[in-house]
Amino acid sequence: MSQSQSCVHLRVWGELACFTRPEMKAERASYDAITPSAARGILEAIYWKPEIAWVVDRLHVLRPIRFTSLRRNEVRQKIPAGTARSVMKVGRGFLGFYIDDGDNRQQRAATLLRDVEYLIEGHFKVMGGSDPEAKHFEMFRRRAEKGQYFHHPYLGCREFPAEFAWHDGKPPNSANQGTRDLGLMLHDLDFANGMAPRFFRALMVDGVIDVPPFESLGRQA
Amino acid sequence: MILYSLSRLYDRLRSDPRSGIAPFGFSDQKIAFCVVLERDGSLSDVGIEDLRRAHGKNLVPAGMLVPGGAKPSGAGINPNFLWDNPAYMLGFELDDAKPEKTAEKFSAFRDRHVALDSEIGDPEFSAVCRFLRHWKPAAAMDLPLLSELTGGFGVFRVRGEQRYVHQRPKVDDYWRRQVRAGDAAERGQCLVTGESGTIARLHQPLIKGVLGAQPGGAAIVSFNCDAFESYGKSQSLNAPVGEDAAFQYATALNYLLRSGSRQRVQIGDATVVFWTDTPTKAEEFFGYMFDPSGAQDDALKLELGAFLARIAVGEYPAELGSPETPFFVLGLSANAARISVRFWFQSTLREVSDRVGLHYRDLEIVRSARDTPFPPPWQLLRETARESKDIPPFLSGALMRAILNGLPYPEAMFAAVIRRIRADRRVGHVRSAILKACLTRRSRTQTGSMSQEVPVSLDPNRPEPAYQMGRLFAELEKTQEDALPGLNDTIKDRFFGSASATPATVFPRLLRLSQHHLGKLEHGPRVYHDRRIQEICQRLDGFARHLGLEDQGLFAIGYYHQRHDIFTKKSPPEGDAGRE
Repeated sequence: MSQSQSCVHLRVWGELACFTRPEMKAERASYDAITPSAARGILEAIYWKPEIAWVVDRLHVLRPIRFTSLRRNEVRQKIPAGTARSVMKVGRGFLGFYIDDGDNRQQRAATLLRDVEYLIEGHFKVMGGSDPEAKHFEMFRRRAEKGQYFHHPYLGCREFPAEFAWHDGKPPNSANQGTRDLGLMLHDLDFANGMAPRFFRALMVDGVIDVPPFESLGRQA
Repeated sequence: MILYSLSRLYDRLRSDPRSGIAPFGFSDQKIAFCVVLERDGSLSDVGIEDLRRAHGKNLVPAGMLVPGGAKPSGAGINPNFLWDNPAYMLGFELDDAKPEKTAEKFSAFRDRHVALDSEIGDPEFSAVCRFLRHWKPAAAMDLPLLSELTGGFGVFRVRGEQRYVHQRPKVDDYWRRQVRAGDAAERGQCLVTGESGTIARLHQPLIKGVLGAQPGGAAIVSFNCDAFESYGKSQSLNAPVGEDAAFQYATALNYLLRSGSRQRVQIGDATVVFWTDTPTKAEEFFGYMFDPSGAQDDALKLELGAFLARIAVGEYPAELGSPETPFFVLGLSANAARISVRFWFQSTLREVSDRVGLHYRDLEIVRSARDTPFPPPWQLLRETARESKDIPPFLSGALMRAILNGLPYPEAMFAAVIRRIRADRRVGHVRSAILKACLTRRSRTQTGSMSQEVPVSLDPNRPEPAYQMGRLFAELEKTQEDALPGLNDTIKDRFFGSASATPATVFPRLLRLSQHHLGKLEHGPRVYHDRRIQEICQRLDGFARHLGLEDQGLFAIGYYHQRHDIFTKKSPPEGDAGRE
């Protein structure tokens, strides 16, 4: 990995994480490791501007993969976008729904990851603007070292906050030695093409997942 | 990985002709009757043929491969192709509440088939169409078998033919062609195979056989509420799975869950299925291991016992299959129309056998001849609650994860067993085994407060005071039993709970009581009991004011060990030992 001025290493950890598999969204089941899109979300939470775009290069899974289950009471409705728009136009209206309404309740089980720690290796691309790479890099580095963020970074779902720290030097050894095939994992969503999900084959070698470039996943007709 | 492994299982089953698994576009349905026609389309003299088979005292419908899948739920009109219930096929419904609806159903069924007559061009199919065109639903009253059947599905057959109309080559061809054509479905990358193709909108067939799900079937991949959808996508487009892949994984899972399947067991609230990549004996064996009640005959039980004994000492029985064969375990539980994955485990046969062996080694504790040597997981869970329905729901998943991964057992299980012991004052073999296993694993994987593993049988030199106090309690109870035989309430009924939790308040009183009991005994037994009590007391340095949960577990184990030791026959009888 060339040490260009846009490469960052960020260590994140947390008690619980849920990188939800798209096929099991109702009763959530997590992937075995962090997805590139969740890693991108963490980087963006710390520092992002429209002028840069984050790309995740490599993910290090440092702790053993352990699961736990939870069951929570949630709701089944969403406020429809159309309702929100019309209320905005009119200027007043009722957008709520009752949380304790019996019809609205749904009990959902979730299978989550426990005690996770990852090292995210990524870089950003400058898409526009006049600031040089180094300036963005320094801003990210300062914010990561100080613990600043736009919104608290989370591990897959908002309710699982992530602690983070800037990392220098060699990546630490992972507890997951050997090769392990994690199957098809979600890479990210192609927002430019109807929000189609793109998947890649994740192979974890000694705890390291090499993430292919998003463009290489190709357009599927 | 789950869906991918299931679709690979489907491929394996397809290549095995004995499995009888449905190809794409077909499904296995329970067919109860058959309408036998003449070649010209009239109803033959045989009329309705009963296809049910005897199963014990009842008649059950036979399973058969038919085109298409089960009907979707709801009140719509959905005629099937060459099979359906009597309302659609003959316009007959027992105790008809809505005769117009039944008539509509029959018309829809008839129209669907008549419209295809020329396209299929098969004489038997035409016979069916002719029959449907001329059939008057009122004539169904003359067929006595229909009222007896009370529902169930039927197929068509022409008299003189062996096979059914839906098995005719031209009909079969037509169906396979049209099932592939499909409407203009969305295309995308399938998340199971990674290839691009048409995306299934609804994942059919529904999964049947998970305990607690609605009877019509439930879905693993389901988005039946707004809140589960994202990015404006509707239903299964939220999780793109190719049509083939969806059919394959669902059919394979239904195969594993079918009634009579030896690859499924119920552990607590989780329905567990397991399979290996290639057919092996392990697939049958693990079912019996998790639920021995399935093994009916004694020869099988002996064989299983032998297998387990070998696994428990760490040996790998080669009859199970090649040790490197991948082995998959999937635990599912239902939440109305949805299925949630309780746990998923994927490894090799060798590793699973090692982990199971370790589990039974951890559970091993001294026992009498009546106790099962290898209690299955459901029996362990049963000890955590008063009734089966009170077992905490997540415990089954957590327990299976702990067994298969070699991790410490769930804390909740330990706490629940202690609670049950205090509630009903029984410390049996299974409960002691659970406590011992939990403590052993805890001491092995983290630096607990214990230096050594909990022993299998009585260890008088154990340093932990809680263990010795449990032993003492057992001796005091035996003294009371010998002094006052036939007592309704022993000190165990009254004081076990408080002795294990707050020994300092209880033991002085118990020791005073024991003096009275000793006084009631003859000289021989008195000396014997007194000596045994003293042997334990001299190891204790006062009594703790309060014992934590881990120590309460040791108390119970000490009690159990000592109790077992008391009731184990030793060569000299009690009286002689006192005279030494």
